[in-house]
Amino acid sequence: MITQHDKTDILIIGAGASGAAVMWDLSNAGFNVVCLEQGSRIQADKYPVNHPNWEELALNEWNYNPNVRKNNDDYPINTDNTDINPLMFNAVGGSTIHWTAHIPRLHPSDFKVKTLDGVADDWPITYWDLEPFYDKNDQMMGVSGIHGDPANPKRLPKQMPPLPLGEEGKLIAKAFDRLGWHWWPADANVNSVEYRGRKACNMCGPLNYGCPRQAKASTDVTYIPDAIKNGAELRVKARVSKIETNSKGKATGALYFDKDGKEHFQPANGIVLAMNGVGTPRILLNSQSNAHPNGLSNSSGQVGKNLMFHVFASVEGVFDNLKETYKGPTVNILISQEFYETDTTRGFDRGYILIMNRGTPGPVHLSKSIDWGKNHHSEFEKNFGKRLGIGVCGEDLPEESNCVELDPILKDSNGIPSPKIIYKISKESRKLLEHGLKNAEIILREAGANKIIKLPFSKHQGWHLMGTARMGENPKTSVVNKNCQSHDIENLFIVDASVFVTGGAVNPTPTIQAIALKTSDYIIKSRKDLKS
Amino acid sequence: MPNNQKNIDKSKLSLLKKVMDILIPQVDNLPSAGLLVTDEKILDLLNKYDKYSSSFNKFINALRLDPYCRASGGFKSLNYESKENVLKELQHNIPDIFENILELIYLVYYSNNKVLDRINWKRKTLQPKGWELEKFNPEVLDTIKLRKPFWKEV
Ligand SMILES: Cc1cc2nc3c(=O)[nH]c(=O)nc-3n(C[C@H](O)[C@H](O)[C@H](O)COP(=O)(O)OP(=O)(O)OC[C@H]3O[C@@H](n4cnc5c(N)ncnc54)[C@H](O)[C@@H]3O)c2cc1C
Repeated sequence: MITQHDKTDILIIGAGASGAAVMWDLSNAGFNVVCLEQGSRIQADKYPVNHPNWEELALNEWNYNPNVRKNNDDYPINTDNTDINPLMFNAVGGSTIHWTAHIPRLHPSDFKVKTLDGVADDWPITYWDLEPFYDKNDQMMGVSGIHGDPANPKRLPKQMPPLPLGEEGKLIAKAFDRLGWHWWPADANVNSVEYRGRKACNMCGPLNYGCPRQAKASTDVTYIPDAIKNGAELRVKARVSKIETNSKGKATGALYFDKDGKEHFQPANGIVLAMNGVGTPRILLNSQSNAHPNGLSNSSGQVGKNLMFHVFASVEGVFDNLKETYKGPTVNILISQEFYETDTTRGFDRGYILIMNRGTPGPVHLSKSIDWGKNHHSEFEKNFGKRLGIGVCGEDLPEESNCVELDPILKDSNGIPSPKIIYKISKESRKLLEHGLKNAEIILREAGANKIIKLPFSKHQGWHLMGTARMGENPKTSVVNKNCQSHDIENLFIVDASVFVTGGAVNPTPTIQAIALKTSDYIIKSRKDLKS
Repeated sequence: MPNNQKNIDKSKLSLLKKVMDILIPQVDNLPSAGLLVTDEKILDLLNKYDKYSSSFNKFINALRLDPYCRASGGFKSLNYESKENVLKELQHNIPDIFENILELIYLVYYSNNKVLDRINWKRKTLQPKGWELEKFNPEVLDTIKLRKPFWKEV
């Protein structure tokens, strides 16, 4: 028997970066909000960095890859046909539990790549449409950084001063200066001083396995507590299988499984999907019915298509004169946007950023990248605490053949079909990476690296899941309009990075959250009909 | 997800320890990894994680089936160089399994107190102390600040 719940104004599915932002904003405006999240609340004492075996935990129960982690709250993903594995965390806070909180914004040009470079499509919105929502999100998440970056439009002062660069950061910054290349201290949603009741970062290092001090802004410690104070209801261990619709073509609510596998139905006036670029198309495709034979909101056939990840590779340098490069956050030091825009002489469109990272944070992580056998100990000595890296994060243009589908066989623990990822890195992206890696090496040599290590291209880099329910004006070629409202179902909204038209070359989350807040702003101002 | 108490064959474990001796040889006054670490520690990880136990079984089977090992009376009876070559070959042929085995061995080895003392890694738990870094000094921006805005206006 299916348990029926009372109707709510807005049902949000997914309590990660985007869902949490909408949950806060709508509850603040007096909407009745229920949020269904398949994962649990994470207790801070569970985070690996509290434990002496933190490297073991990081590589297993806290692995970024749900297929390795295999926690109860995860769903399996078929990754047999992809060059890049999707990475995510399923819990209250979503993947922001794992994220490194590095938060560059898209550039104004990113919204107009078709006009500028003749590739992909323009977005139906501009940077300036999103700017106030980027700023609003910054207030809630808290930004450490410094204004004045010449690579980006002017911004409001940041909430906190930048995180320390450390000796290593200064070394690399000077190398950029000598080469005449742009660099700037990284903007981070990591507190350099106490902010909104959350402590300052104490530089422990691997912030990408959860932060027990709450210095890193994951949404379980930023938006969600405030949303709950506003009266929003968060239901955990609630895994949605399907969105239901009525004969008028409206979404009526969602079917979900609770922790005991019992089925429930949560009715709502409006539904907001925030399950990320893999989870959202999965549930839309699984919501197929007679009225929606190709899945919900899929009259365009674009649901699941155009999956983008960002391509990533890195080079590390060994610096004999450094001793403790594991001290300090692994990333969030500095970035360069020197190579962001298209330069036709390079042989590929669009560009990339260079991100500095500190050395591997523990002996096991380091050992995995050096020789075993006779040279192991000498290599360990030469590398431990002496490595710095430069990562290349490049734009990955959309292609229809890169997609999320439903797997015909694989299912999660509730019997819901798993997503299947089909993805090939394009030739253009490979060229871009090659170009970026050469420049990364130039920087490290300029900074005085004694040895350069080109890390092999790794499959484990699908941190950014974008493009699978894209935004556009034309219902024939896109899934949602500029307000993130489904073209097909007028009371259905999508607020995660599925709606990205292109991905730019920067980490996506501030943009995801700005889009989420822009959508909730639209609902508040223009969809009073959804409020009881 | 941790998964407890599997039946681990002792002879397989002893073979793994011979492999460990090659992967992490002795150094200073520390013996090689297979001699240094306890069975208990390895069993703990094998019991906890399917990733390691399934790779362990596949790896040992591959090692036992290796034609060179079979022809020479098994891995244990090979000389150092030959052992190294067999392992290199396995790394090439079954990279994912080999990577999991390496990870398991490093986890076991680098949790041994004598090893951690030797590499002077004092901070076993990263929190609650963390590390200290000098505060950001804006003078470092003196050069880059001279650059005019260069983002593309559209
Ligand atoms: C290791 C790592 C590092 C990262 N670092 C950065 C960074 O430095 N900067 C940056 O900008 N981005 C970073 N990211 C990416 C960032 O975490 C994501 O872009 C962001 O969290 C996506 O937000 P979202 O709301 O779309 O999805 P998520 O945050 O993934 O949240 C989706 C939520 O939906 C839930 N869900 C899914 N399906 C269902 C269902 N059927 N029923 C109920 N609930 C469901 C999930 O459990 C999850 O909690 C990183 C990601 C990882 C994995």
